[in-house]
Amino acid sequence: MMFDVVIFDRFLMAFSLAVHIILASIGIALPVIILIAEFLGIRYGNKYYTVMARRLAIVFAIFFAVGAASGTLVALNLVLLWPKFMAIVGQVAIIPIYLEVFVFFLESIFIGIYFYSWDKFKNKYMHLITGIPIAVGSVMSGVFITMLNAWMNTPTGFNIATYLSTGAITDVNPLAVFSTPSTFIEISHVISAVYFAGTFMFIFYASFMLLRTDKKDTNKRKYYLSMLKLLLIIAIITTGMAVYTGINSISSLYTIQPEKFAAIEANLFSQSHAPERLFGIFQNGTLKYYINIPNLQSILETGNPNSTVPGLMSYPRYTWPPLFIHDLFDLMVLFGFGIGFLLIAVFVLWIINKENLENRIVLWLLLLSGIMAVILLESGWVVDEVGRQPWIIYNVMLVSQAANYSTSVIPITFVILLFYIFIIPFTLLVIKRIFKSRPLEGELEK
Amino acid sequence: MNGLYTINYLIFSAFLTLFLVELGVAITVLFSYEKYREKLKRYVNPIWEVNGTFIIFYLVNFEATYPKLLPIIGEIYLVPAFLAFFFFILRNSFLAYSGYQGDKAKEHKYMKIYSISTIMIALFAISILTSSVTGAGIDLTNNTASLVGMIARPFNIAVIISAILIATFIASNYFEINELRRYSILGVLAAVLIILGALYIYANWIFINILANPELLIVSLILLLLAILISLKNDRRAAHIAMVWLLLSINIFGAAQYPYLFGGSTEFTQYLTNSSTGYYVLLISVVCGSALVLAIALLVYINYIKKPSPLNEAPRS
Repeated sequence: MMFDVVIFDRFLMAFSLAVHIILASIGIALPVIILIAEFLGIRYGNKYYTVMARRLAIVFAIFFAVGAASGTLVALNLVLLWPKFMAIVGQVAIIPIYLEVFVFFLESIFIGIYFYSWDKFKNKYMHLITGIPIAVGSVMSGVFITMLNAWMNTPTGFNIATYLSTGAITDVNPLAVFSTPSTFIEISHVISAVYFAGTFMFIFYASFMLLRTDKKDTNKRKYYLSMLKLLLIIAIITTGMAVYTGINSISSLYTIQPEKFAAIEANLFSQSHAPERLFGIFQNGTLKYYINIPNLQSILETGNPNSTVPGLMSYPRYTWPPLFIHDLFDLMVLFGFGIGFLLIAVFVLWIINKENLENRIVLWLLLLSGIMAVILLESGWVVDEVGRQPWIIYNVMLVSQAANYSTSVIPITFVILLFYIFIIPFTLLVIKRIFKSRPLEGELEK
Repeated sequence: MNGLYTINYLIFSAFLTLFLVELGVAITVLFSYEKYREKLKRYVNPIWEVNGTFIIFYLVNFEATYPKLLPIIGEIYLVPAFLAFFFFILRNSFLAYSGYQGDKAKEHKYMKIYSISTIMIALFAISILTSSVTGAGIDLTNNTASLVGMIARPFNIAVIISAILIATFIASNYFEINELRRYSILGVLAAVLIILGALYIYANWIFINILANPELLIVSLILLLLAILISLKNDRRAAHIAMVWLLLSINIFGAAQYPYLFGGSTEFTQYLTNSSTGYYVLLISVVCGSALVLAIALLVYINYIKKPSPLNEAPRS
């Protein structure tokens, strides 16, 4: 029974995070998009961008409400599902979480100002300025939360040896959580990845609306085209950043989380001249049906084909992460490169002829890239979290040691699951209804 | 009194005060939404997210202050806490949905769901609070709890009824609901008597501690009296004074409860964080808390005091 309850704990946590990560990506990327649109609207007197800022602000307000609630649920999950984990975090690594609450609070306050004060300022830039703390607050929330995750991957700030032998937490340095070996690497990748994914979710929307909008409806098409152009420029920057930081991130695992690295690369044995194995299936302890590129793994990690990469056999079997993360990681890289090349192609086509951006094939491909970006985001998160298993705090506390074994978790899991299944589609439906009641044509004509 | 406990309780009292004002909004929505729609929206639109954030603010401050208590809390309050947050998501979502509805009937329907959710949050949150004070419905030896045992206790029921009466008093004055005003004065007086009576019977040690330091109690009673007198003149400033009274009263309660937890079977101080973390928690609370107060002042100024610029278009909902 105990084992079953931990599965429910895991499932509820994973499900809550899987939903929250999408809402958080929207919550981090959208304020930047809105502020740029508002700036362009004021600076150039462009009605499309002004209307865009206002309409996207409604979307943001609703997603923020749902996202804030889902974030609160994640925070509650941490306490209720993993109380022993939070007991350590509370003593050693709580400061970033505490700071996160303040920036989140600041963000909430400025949302209360920004969204209800469009008409309050003579100088329109003043209204724009009230939105800046929202963008800063949302990204800083992400930064602080990622600090805790980095600490879980590379714990520091207390005497681990004493804790492992006696259970006592001693020699606490509550500021060490700000500078663990993985802090900067993880923050840079997570933040660029959420900007990337959030932007692509709206590329999906703009492409979808352009595909749906009649060619004769020039005003409406111009609106969605303006949105798409703005998003594509942001996407080029964020994709470049996400790829660059992603490469740094995987390289760092080589030294700081070798089991995770070995599982991602499907390395059972430490070896020099390590090949890059793409995809494949583990059967009876060996990888089969994979694509083999000789020496590439060693070269990618150190630049030297003679270098040795870690293998799982060097570690106790119970510390191995589930090996499916190898394929998931490869899928992620494949999608990442796919989106990258697609962006370059679209950009070149756009430069050649402005009208190419309205080509239906291009729009379908951009729509597809929006879906791929979400899959990529979720896969990256799964690879990071599952790759740390069986640890909740790497080499310090097992997930099973941290869990809440109360059987009350089981019915709660089903209720929360059903609830999320209902709330997300319903939110989208409400947004659709709201926009139906506020036709774009009417707002553009004002 | 311990500094960390004080900060934690101050955050809690601010949260509870704001939440009870919102509970008043929720009650008014059920009572007469159409008539007071504009006033309710004008109040709740800019502030509801701040109220919601206060919950997580308190939760994280609690984690930072009492980390050793989390394994116990995680087990005994698992069900009521999840139920409260279930309704919290409903509250957030439906209030946000209602904000941009063109369709009035739908807006009213969504506001009703928001309203019922807010009342349900109050029910579960107060049940957790009273259980943590008296130890009702929980078994600390086995770290188990009975939800019915927590809710269906006379002390808990007394606090829930009092909370509703106080929320109604504040709302009837703040939103100028004249049909309710006179009754709500009787209601708030009844609430005070019910709370004091319940404390006397079910948490006598808190009652004795309150009487042991009568200065703050006298200030609190004067504030209440002032609020009632102003309310009799149909002046909405009665609500502002009532909020200050409520904030002070919650803190008097917190001071009287200190340092005991779960009916006196244990003490807060046993679960406090280490001194290094505690130092930074205090420092951040003071520095960042001051910044938040300034930001809230700005919010109040822009949304409730500053008039729309005549150069701009009409306000949107």
